Amino acid sequence: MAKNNSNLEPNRNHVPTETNSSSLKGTLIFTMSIGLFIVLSWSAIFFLFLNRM
Amino acid sequence: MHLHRYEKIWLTFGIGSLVIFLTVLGVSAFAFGQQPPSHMAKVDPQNVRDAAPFDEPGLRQINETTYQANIIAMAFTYQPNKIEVPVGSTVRFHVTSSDVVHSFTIPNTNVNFMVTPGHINMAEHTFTEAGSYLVLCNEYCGTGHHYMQMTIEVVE
Amino acid sequence: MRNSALKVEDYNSNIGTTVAPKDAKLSMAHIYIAFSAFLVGAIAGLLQGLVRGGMIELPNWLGYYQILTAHGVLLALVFTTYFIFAFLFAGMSRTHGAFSDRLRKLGWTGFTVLTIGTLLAAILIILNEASVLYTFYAPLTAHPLYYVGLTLFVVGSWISGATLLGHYFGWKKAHKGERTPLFGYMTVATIVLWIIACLGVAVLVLLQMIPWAFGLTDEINVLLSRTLFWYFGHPLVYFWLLPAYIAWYVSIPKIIGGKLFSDSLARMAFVLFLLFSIPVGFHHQLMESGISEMWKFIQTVLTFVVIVPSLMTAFSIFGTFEQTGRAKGGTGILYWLHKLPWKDVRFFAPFMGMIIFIPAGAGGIINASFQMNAVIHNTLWVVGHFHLTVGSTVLLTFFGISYWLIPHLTGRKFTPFLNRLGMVQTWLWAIGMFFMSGAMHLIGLLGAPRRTAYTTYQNHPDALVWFEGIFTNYVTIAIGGVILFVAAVMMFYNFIYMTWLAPKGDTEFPISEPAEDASETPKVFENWKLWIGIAIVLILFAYTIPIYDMIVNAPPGSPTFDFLIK
Repeated sequence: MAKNNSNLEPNRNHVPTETNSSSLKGTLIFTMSIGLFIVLSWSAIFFLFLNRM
Repeated sequence: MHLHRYEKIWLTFGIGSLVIFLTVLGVSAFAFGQQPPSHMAKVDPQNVRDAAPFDEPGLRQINETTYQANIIAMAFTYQPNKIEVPVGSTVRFHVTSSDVVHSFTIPNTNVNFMVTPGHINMAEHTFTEAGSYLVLCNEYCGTGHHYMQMTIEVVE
Repeated sequence: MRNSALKVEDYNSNIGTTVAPKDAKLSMAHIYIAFSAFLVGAIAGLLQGLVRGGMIELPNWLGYYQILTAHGVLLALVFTTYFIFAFLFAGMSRTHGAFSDRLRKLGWTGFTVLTIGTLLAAILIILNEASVLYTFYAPLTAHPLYYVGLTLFVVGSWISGATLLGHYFGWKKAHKGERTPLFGYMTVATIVLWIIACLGVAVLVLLQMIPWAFGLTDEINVLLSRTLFWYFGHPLVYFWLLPAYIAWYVSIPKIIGGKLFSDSLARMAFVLFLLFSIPVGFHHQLMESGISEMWKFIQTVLTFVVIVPSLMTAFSIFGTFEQTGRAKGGTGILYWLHKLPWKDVRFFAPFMGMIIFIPAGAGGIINASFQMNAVIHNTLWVVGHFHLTVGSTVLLTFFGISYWLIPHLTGRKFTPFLNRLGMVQTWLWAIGMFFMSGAMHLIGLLGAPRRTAYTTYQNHPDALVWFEGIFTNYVTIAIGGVILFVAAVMMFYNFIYMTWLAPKGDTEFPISEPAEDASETPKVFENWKLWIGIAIVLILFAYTIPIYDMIVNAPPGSPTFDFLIK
């Protein structure tokens, strides 16, 4: 389909699918920081719960 | 199906955290008795005042430091709507509803449970500091819901 | 409706690139109602924020709980459901070809029934006969016709759902042995989830509430009614979330110029949602009597299982971003992020939704944490929580979808002007939500109740703190609400612009190519009988004994209480 704006045009280049570890380092860091955030916020509320017993 | 090595690491960490959360919750609930309020006693919601303990709502002393508070929640108040206990007391709240669903909630404590008609719910709290404690209803119960409150006076 | 440039011949020859014009009409009919409901719901939300902050008082003829009911029903039920069906109808036409005339007719029937139900419910809310909030907990009682309206709403959604299922299985029959397109697969998971979930609310409304509200029965089993509601209520939130996930998995990779990370993992996530998002309703009833600790804990464990597919989604989506960024020449550990189209609202709005899903999901885990629920149950924290999940993650994704879906359907162009409007809208929404939801979370921890009109509890000190904090203040909530309202009005303008004002032309409906591993996706994923069977077994396991107990050992029931809401 015709595009109106070249900035917004999806890139149709072939995406290599090699799955060597280096190519997903950022993803690992990102997901692990989500995990850390979950553990910290859960612990904070758990200690609030214990405090209020 | 193929899992990337990093995805395995992430899922192990993520699922591991969930397992730890559940273990902590389960042990503190089932081994140390910190259960969510799940009282099983029942009552006729249209005649709550016909039988004990709600025929005489109010505070009853059980031993030196323990009290039982029998409270009826109704639109839009609690009966009684004020109780007084000495500091250091443990109060066991037994609450039921004579009409719709309410809650019995003391902000800044873990006393925060639903009061459904037909059921009695309960929780226990030890008041270690003197002061006036607000009790409010945090389940919508009608046009006057935001007026529904009582106080617990904890005195020296 | 459709630009004349697309000829009727394109209808069949162009399967897989556009939405067929007749299907576009059906989809747009849903969009009109969705955005009308959105505007009215947003006005109600603004008023609530200002009332609770003590800044305005409502006129006598308008109740706080009336607008609260309107806000919940219009945004959480009407906007979401209509938008979801608009998106799924269009997407199924785009990926599986035009609907047959017979099926399309069924789709219009679904739309009509849905809309009659919506109008009936809306009229009763306007008349102040149904200020029972969108959860309509018994024994508060609305006008009996309100429940009829809700029934029609559900029936309509089932007819629409059947239309989508019919289209998918028709395709499958015509393409024996082929892997179904991911969009259709995810649509089926979503609709099957919805139909199974609605069984609970159907039993609740048809067997319990309608006979009771019309006076055919004297009493209602309150605990059973709440349990049936939450059997439905939790998968309801996944019914909102899954279409957003569809866009993340199927459309976003195309928008950023890449390809989905993994086909099989995507399908597995949706299967897990179907299996585990239903037998978990007790985590909304953790604080109530009459359900034993053991059954509450069992459903808590099942709730935690349904977190896993969202963990998988986080990896899949970010992995897609990283692979795409690297394919475009990005390097380093995180430097490839620069290669993503940050200035394209079609990417940025859903991306903002994804980021907001991190605190939203963390909050959700806290909420479901058994006895810990006492800290936050029915406080403003919960309101803050679902304004992040459905109010930000889902809505920002739906807005992101709108920017290509609506112009695609109306035969107009997605212009740089619209893109700029969208970027500003997204930022305003996120900033408004930061203030509103952030303050709600914290005031909730201080005990402020949800669903409660302005009150200082006779100036009790424990309540006055909610009005005195620097950030933890009802005024912060109101400020956030005002910003959100401005963003909502902008979004409504964007809808008007995309529907009637934008220049004519074509806008792509982005669908990613199948992932590289798609050919290896195990066949078992397509075995719907198996997944539905397991879902039913899990539901029976989690609910049979407690529900049996609720019925057999029920206390005397409750009469109607309709006078309390007027």
